[in-house]
Amino acid sequence: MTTVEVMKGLGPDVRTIKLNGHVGFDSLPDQLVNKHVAQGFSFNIMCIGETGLGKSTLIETLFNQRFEFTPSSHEVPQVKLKPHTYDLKEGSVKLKLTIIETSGFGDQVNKEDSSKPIIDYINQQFENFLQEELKIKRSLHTYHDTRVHVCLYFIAPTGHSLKSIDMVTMKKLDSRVNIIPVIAKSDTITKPELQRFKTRIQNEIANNDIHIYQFPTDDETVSEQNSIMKNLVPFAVVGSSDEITVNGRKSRARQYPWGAVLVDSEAHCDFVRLREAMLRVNMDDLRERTHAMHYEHYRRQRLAEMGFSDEDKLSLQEMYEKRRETHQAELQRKEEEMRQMFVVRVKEKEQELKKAEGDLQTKFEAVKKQHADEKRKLEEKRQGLDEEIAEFQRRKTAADNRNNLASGTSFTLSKSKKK
Amino acid sequence: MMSGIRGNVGRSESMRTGASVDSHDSVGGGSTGNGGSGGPGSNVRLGFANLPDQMHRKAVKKGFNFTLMVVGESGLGKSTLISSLFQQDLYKDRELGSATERVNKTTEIDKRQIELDEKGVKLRLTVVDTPGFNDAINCQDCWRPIEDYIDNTFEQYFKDECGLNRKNIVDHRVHCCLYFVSPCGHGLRPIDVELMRRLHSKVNIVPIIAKADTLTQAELRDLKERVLADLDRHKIQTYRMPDTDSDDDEETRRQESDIRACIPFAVIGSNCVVESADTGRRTRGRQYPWGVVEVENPKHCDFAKLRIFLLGTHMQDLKDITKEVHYENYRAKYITERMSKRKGAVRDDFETRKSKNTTEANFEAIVDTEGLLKEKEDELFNAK
Repeated sequence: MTTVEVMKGLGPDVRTIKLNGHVGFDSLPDQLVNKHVAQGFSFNIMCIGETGLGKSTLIETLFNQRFEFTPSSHEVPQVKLKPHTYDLKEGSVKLKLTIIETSGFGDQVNKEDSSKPIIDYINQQFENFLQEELKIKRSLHTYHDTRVHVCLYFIAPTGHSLKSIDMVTMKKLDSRVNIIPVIAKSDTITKPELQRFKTRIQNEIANNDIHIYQFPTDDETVSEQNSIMKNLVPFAVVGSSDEITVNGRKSRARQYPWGAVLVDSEAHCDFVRLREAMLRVNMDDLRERTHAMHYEHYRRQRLAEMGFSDEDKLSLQEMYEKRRETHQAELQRKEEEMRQMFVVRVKEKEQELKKAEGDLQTKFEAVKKQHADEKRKLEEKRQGLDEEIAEFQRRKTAADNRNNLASGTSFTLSKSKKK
Repeated sequence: MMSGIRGNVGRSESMRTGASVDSHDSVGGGSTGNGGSGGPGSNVRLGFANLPDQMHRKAVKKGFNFTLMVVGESGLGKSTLISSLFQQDLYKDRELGSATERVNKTTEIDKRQIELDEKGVKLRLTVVDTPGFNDAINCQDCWRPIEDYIDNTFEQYFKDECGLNRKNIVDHRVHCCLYFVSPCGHGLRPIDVELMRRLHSKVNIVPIIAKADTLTQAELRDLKERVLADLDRHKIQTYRMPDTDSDDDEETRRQESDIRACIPFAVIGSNCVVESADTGRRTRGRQYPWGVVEVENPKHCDFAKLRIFLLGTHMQDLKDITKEVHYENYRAKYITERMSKRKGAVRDDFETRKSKNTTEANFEAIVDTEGLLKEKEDELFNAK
């Protein structure tokens, strides 16, 4: 005899019935799971941390695969995000894994704009999903969900406390994505130092109201595990893809002259716990929270921007029409304005040109007058010169005549000369 | 009378020589009596081969002073390294700020002085720490306080040198700057490059890779190569050890080349004492679940080499380079700047008086309209 728990929250006209035999709808979860498994899951991890903290290595260690990330240099002028998508398969479960890595985070001298590209990327993914949701003909069940499900924030192993950029960035991101802080390269820190460091970070996170991802404790099956995990945050991890043989077994480790750090050993680092917490136990909860909390938050903000709100009680359709009308009116008004401005400008230009033409005309006249004056002057001078020449000739002939009279001969030279 | 005096002088000289010969013998023949002392045919030892001993005694009596500056971002182990180097915990009472306080923190200068005594040799050590470097979100100009501090110490020394009473000049000039490079990284960061570019002509920079227990042997080699390549690329001149003389023995030369090959030094510091794995001795080190790191073990890190370099062999050379090269550069620049500033002030006055007329503005307006009219003329001409 199967019994059914009283479902809370139903109205008075819903009766709960006790079943007398096996109906069979207890296989619903299995049907759901089978359908999802056939579709495949998608999971998007974002890794934020300074260059050289081992983000790529940790992802490779987590998924036990070599992804061939290229290490970035320190001289990137602005933070950039590089998403890579991979298809993984474990058992019969297909996973579309997208890894988004920051490059150049914390390298610039002025780090004030470091978080902007990250926030833009997260919002862009939410926006894409929102657009898909609002489409008339949409295909949500085949849509490749690129929203960021979890953000691993890598803290540098200084041993003192969080850096200022860590705090500021986490504060900006805590309402948009699930943050799990991890201490990178934690094989630098001894056990007592690590405890102090973790306590200090936990205090700072609490004091500054940073809402990192809380592992869910309401489900009994996982609540115990998750409460242990909660105390371990931030996870102190060590990543390595190199294998060495220890005690006859091959395991991933980092070999030092003074010993070897085994990545898979719980006594050496928290890597195994991180993998459990993130992948084995809470992966679905992370996706759920991204959709139910962060995405809804974004959607509400965005629709409020667009002018929709819950108080007007208008359907989406009517809101759209109204919006469109106002928008059109606005456009028309702007067009009118521009046209008027154009006319005014053309008039001004015409006046200017006219004035310039007038100026040109007067200048031309002046130059012409000047030219005429000079010409006249030259003419006068020429006349003067001609007269002088004539005078000179007359004098010459007179002198010659006198000479001729004096000598008594007459020549015709003067005549020919006169020619 | 003059000759009499001269005679006296001559006699006293010979007496003095005699005395020095005596004392020379009484010392026990420790100083070398190389055959070639004195003029030809004189077997009298003058005794100036004693000079090094005299200098030694005087220096021991006077004591030494050394100023060391450590620069690097918080959490790289600077204080721990200083404590390990000098076997003293200088920073017991230090308080570390939280992340909120660091958002807008500026670089501060923190000087601590200690006096150390080893086998009668006294060392007055000043350690200049720079808390707050690279802590804030916007680290623009965070190197300015450090640069100013070094310039101020030079200026102070310069003024003291020019002063009337020069007996008791205290030398605050920074003799060596240890620059800590983070091991989590692929080389030098932009801020490292910026700072070193501004300081390399003012102080001896010795780059150090901090917290070297983060790196495996292969990674350490890679990082050292990359740091050296970056330094080369940005043309930063770090401290270069002087070449060994040919008459130094094999041992020193080998040591020297060892140390030179190690730069930048990869160090680990520790304030705790642990038991070493192979010898069972108690030394400074760090205890991990997977092993014990010994600070002074040359196979684990370059700390021992750094100590020999800094305290054992090159301390005097660092001081000399600071005195002869960096300080002299500063001095020359300072003096020429002052000269040119005075000349420049006079010249500037004259020029401002000249440019007070307004014809310049009108001229430009005229040129414009002329150009415009010419354009219009051309248009009309072409339109025709």
